[in-house]
Amino acid sequence: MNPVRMLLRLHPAAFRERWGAALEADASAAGRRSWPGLLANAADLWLHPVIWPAKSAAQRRHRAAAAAFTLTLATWFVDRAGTANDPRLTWRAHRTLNVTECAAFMLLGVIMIMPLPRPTRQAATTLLRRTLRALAAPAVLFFAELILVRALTPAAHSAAHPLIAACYWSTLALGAVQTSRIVGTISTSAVTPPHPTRLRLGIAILATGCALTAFISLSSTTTGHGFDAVSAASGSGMLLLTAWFLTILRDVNEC
Amino acid sequence: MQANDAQTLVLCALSNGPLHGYAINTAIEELTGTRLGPGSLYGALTRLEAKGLVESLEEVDRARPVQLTTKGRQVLEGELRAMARVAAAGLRGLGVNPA
Repeated sequence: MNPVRMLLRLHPAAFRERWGAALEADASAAGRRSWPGLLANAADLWLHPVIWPAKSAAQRRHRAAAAAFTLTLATWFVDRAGTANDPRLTWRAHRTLNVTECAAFMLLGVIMIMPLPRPTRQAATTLLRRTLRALAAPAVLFFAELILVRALTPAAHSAAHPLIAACYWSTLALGAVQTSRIVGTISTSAVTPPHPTRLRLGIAILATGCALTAFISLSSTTTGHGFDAVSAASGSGMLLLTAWFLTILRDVNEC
Repeated sequence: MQANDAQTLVLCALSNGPLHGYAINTAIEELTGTRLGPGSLYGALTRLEAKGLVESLEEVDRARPVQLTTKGRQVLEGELRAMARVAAAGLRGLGVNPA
């Protein structure tokens, strides 16, 4: 495949539909020196879904909500990895706060940013069908693992522990991806995007929750038994996610 | 925004009227001596459109020209005036006549 076309395919579909033909012609004329710029542009666009070409302001708000929801799931996923590594994070007070409370606080932000289902039977049917289709595979995997774990003897359980852990994390990741796809791809005929004020407030809450979780993870890095690399990695990851939340908030304010 | 910022350059190129992507880059080359990379150019156009500073016109010969919106004109004018003030102050400090 033509390298320019390959780089173009890395861009979001909305951008390709709007500028794809012109960009391909210009990039082909410019030659190889345009390739790094195309790659950087593709990465930049994925970091800023709110600025993608849109038909309306409501579509931009829907994209912002979907992106913030995806980041929240990523935060909870990293959070879960951190607490699995160090269960004390869930109860260790760090004086006043623990990661479970931060996750609950972020739930408030999720409620605020979520597109609301339209009060029609058709919308309810569409949502239900979409949800069942998307979550069927992770649900089946989850129950299969549950049955398998209960059926294993303690000796077999400890022997198969790495495999069970891998299945658990894969199922969790698949469930997160599928859930964020439901929010991101659901038709606007079934849901209404959040009001701008509600969206801004919701994203601000999510950014705050994520930053607090990052703080708790990072502050536990050097306590206990020396340096904890997993806490450091999860804390740093959550700081990056906080920056991403703030980027979305800035884009919502500007657009 | 800054004088060499891709978004400012695109707004400046569009100040004379609607242009399509390639023509915008040619106008920028005439202004600065270098062309923007295609990624920078279309990235800047995407951002400007999202901010409501430029808008697309109907497609002509498979190219879709863009033009400044009223808000885009106001923002560009404000930016250029601010840059002119800074440039004049800097040149005065250096003892060079801004004219």
